[in-house]
Amino acid sequence: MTELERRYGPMVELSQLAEYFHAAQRAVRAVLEREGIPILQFGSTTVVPLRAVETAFGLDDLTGDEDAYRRARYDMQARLHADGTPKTMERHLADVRARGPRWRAVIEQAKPARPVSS
Amino acid sequence: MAVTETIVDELFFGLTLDDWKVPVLGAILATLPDPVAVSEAIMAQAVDLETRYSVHQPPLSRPDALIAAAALREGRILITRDRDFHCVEGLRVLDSHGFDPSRASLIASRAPVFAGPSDRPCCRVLWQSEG
Repeated sequence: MTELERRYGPMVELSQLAEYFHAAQRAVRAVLEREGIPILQFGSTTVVPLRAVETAFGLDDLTGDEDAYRRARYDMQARLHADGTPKTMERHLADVRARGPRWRAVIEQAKPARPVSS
Repeated sequence: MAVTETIVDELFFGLTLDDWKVPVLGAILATLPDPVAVSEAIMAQAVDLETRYSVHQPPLSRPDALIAAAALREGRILITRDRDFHCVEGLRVLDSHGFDPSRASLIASRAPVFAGPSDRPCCRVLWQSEG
């Protein structure tokens, strides 16, 4: 769970909301703004607090703890192969390391550029 | 403060690069030192922990066994909101409920506690199995 979610609860992407409402993102954004719901921009992604959307529109069926679900899936894939057979610790770590470079690149990209020394 | 390579994997698991959480997690993790790699010794200890606490209710998960083993082997304090580590003997745990990363002094003012099997029903089988 990110700090953002700890403070404001789970987030939902504006594009997902628009898909849910079968409406254009611009129209959904206009309604959210009218309701005073905070709209947050991260790069090209726009998210809004799910709880605020639910409160404003009474959409209880949108709730769900996505992170708890991801964690449960993670715990399971750490122990089991896709076919349900047990996975060794070595194999789990090999899987972790195979996924590692992709996320290390994300972290590196987020680091502030170091000044070039002369 | 640091995370392990397995914590990084768990945080990003199931996310795609276009998920809004990815740059947020990246920005948070970028403020920390390079993730702690899981050594052979950490892996061996994780296997031991996984076996020992498999009778706990619920059992210690493999990802949590790796985190606990890394903290034990590296002599680190585990900062977590997760109650699943409470049974791991010898693990020093600092409860991060309400911890605001922008106020690191708050976390420094708290004292870690040693974890270990308690007399609660979830840990009772551990006492029975270990005599």
